[in-house]
Amino acid sequence: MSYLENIIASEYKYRLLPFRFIRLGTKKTNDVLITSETGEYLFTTEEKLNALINKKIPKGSWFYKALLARHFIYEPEGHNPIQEMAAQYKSRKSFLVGGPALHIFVVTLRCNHTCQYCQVSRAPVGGHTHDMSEYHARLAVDRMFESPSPALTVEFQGGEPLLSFERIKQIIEYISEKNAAEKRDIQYVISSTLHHINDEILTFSKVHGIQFSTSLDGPNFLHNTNRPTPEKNSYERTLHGIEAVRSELGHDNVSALTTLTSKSLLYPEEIIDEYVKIGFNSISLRPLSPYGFAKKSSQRLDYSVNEYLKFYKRALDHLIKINSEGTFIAESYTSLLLSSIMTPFSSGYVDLRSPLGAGLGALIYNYDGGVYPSDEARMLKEMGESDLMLGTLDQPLEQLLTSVQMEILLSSGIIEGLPGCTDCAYLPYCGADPVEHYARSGDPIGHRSFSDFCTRNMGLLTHLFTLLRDGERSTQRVLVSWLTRRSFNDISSYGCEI
Amino acid sequence: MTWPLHIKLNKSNYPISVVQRTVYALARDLSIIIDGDEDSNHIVLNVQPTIIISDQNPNTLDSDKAREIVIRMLNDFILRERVGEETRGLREIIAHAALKEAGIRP
Repeated sequence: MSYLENIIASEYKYRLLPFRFIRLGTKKTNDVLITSETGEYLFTTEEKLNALINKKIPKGSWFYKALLARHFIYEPEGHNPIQEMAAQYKSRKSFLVGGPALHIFVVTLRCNHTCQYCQVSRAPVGGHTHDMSEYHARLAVDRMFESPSPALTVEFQGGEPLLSFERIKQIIEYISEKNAAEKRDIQYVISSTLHHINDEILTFSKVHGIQFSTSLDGPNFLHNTNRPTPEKNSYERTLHGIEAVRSELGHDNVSALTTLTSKSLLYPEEIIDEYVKIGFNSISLRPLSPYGFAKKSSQRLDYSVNEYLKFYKRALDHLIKINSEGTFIAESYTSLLLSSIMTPFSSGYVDLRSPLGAGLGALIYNYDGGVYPSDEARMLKEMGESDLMLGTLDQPLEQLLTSVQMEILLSSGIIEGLPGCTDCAYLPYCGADPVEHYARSGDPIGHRSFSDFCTRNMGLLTHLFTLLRDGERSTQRVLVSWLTRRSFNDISSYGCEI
Repeated sequence: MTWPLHIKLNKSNYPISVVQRTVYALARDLSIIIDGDEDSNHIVLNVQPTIIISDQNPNTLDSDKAREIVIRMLNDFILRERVGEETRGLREIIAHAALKEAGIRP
């Protein structure tokens, strides 16, 4: 800085707005990421960070203007930024208004698969002791409509929910009856292996606009290893089910998720290529959770967070390559994170909310009449830990959401007040997951330094920010194409200021 | 330099809140005990590497590197403390204004 600039800087002092910073650890000079309270960001150097805090950034400089525009600083005699920031903050927290929007009905625990990582602790196909009764189904619908949310997503899970299709029909018909007066916008999803799909189910689904979500763990050898059935044809039957849904309901009415075992981590390219071959335009590379049979089989199936991150980066490279060659396929979790980074809007994803999404954004109605704040809390019950059950279906929603369990989750589910999180630059893009922390450590707050949830999200966000800063133009175009759901060729260019 | 590592800090330069946040942030790799009398102007950090977390990720940090990491983290938290002091109350004002705009009475 020149002598004159020094004088000007010292005479004219801007004021700081709340912000956080982190060192990305890449050995580049602009290795410091600063993020504002509303989620805007800049890359800078250690020297400039010190200058920023010591009020030594020259007024006319590019960096000063960027800091002002992105709400890192303000001028006391200038424009008051609070209303703008409040509007952005409101957008980011918009999920708070409206109440629980995702309602999961666990209609049965019965299933014909014997997946090694099953989170559900399934029941045998024969018998109905693990099916939701008609009585509980009606109560669950009544509870759902007590949520004020104008838009509701009804998801059917199991076990294998199609084994209890009559119950699904009853629930949807009762919802339709009540919605004549309620007039909510309702979406239906069935999470199914698709092995029991038939014409009756497809016809009913077409009438009610039901979408399907299935599991596809990769090519034949991987899928059949992870998801064995007595007939040893899980992969073939899944593909048959996908084709049946597409032909009757439309290509995009079925999506797929992959669950990663330690064997899966050896085959990132093969898994992605399988999804491209089958014609999916999105893939979700989700790691194993510490629930159900996955926890019991952890010695054989599990892997460290660092191993998962290594896999993820390799998978992301392959996805970016495929996309830049003209095939659109997005990674779902990456797209959610990009949405949080590059827009002022909340992705809405339950696990990336603060206050937490469990209970406030989603509710689970179990086959036995129990109500849970998340699918994971319900899975803990199947493992013998029912501490996080909010109550039962015969209790009104208000009572369920003001239960002791909900209070405990809320007190540990706002990252703006949690140790470690309060100082983290990734706070605007992250969320609270007290259920996972409780499952892993017995403590819903957990310790950030030992939290797999934290390590995973920090690893993913650091990698994404590094790509945004250093990635080739084609990489950045791919990421923007995922955010905007437009093809690579439609995205002309994206520049990231440094 | 060998283990255990001892780092002596002046309390007026490194407030206890900064030291505690540093210890928390480094807990995965370093086990740090904060030592010091109320009457003394100094705090001493007694630093040891954590026990190996898993066979796949042995803690191979040496004490020179550890010292560098601790000092850097302390200085970063000093900066965060300064930002926090200057912007005290602003987060609450922004959140309050946002909730009010959304029609929610805090």
